[in-house]
Amino acid sequence: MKRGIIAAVFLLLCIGITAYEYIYITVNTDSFVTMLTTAENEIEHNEILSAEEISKRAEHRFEDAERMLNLFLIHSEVDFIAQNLSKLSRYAHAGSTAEFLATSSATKKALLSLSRSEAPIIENIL
Amino acid sequence: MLTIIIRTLLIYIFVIIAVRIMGKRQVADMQTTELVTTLIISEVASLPMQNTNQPLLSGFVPILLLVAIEIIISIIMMKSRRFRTAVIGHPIIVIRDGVILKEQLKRLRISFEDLYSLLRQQEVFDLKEVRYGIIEPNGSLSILSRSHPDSALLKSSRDIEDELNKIEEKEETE
Repeated sequence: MKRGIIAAVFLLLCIGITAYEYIYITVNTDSFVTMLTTAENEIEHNEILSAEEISKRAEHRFEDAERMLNLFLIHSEVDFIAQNLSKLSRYAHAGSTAEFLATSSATKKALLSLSRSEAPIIENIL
Repeated sequence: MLTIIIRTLLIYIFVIIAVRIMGKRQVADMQTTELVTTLIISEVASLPMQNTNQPLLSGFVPILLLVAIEIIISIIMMKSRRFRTAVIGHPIIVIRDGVILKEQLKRLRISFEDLYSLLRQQEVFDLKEVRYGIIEPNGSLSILSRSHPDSALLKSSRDIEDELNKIEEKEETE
């Protein structure tokens, strides 16, 4: 019976960690994607300062989230997003709209890929 | 390199605890599920050990899950004979009264040489000494010798034989 209780505890732990990870990643990636989309809209409307400010905010927020994300995800994937986010504010500052949009698009794809790869769908399982 | 050393130590301790919780068995006595679980745990544990890019949790969580499943399966096997038979099989008599049951050996895909080897390991060098030779679900051979007095063990072997006969009859009617 003792081992049964241990097994139940382990199962609950696994479910708890998995649920927390899924929710954390989904919520965070969604909010970063929203921020990047807003920044893209701003730069397309020549609101360079606004785009720069949003990019910097995204970069700092990601630095805060990075530690937790590294607990759950492949580190190089998290690093890729962090590097791209750090480039965005510089591109905005320099007025490089094309580079900004390209980097932002790649970052958004990487973020969506992170959250999609955690979903228990057939493509991921197989 | 320091990261690898620390990870290796952490994973090693974790796997020791996990295997300890699973229970004590020597490799030769492991049931199918235990052997499979142990093999998978070793594979899963090695991945984050070698690859620092991979989070430790990606090793710990599958191991926890495997140990939990193994414990649950072993509890169910204790309570349900049918489930136990479905998962690990049942013992099969391969020698009766000194005679090798060739059909049973064929069914188990065990050659005569393998059987003789198992007999020698049991220090049996003459088939005539053997009343019953039973291949256990874990692949080991149990011997009941003719010199053994009637006992509960013999009765349990008769039960096995009765069961075996029932299974054979069932297979024939199917």
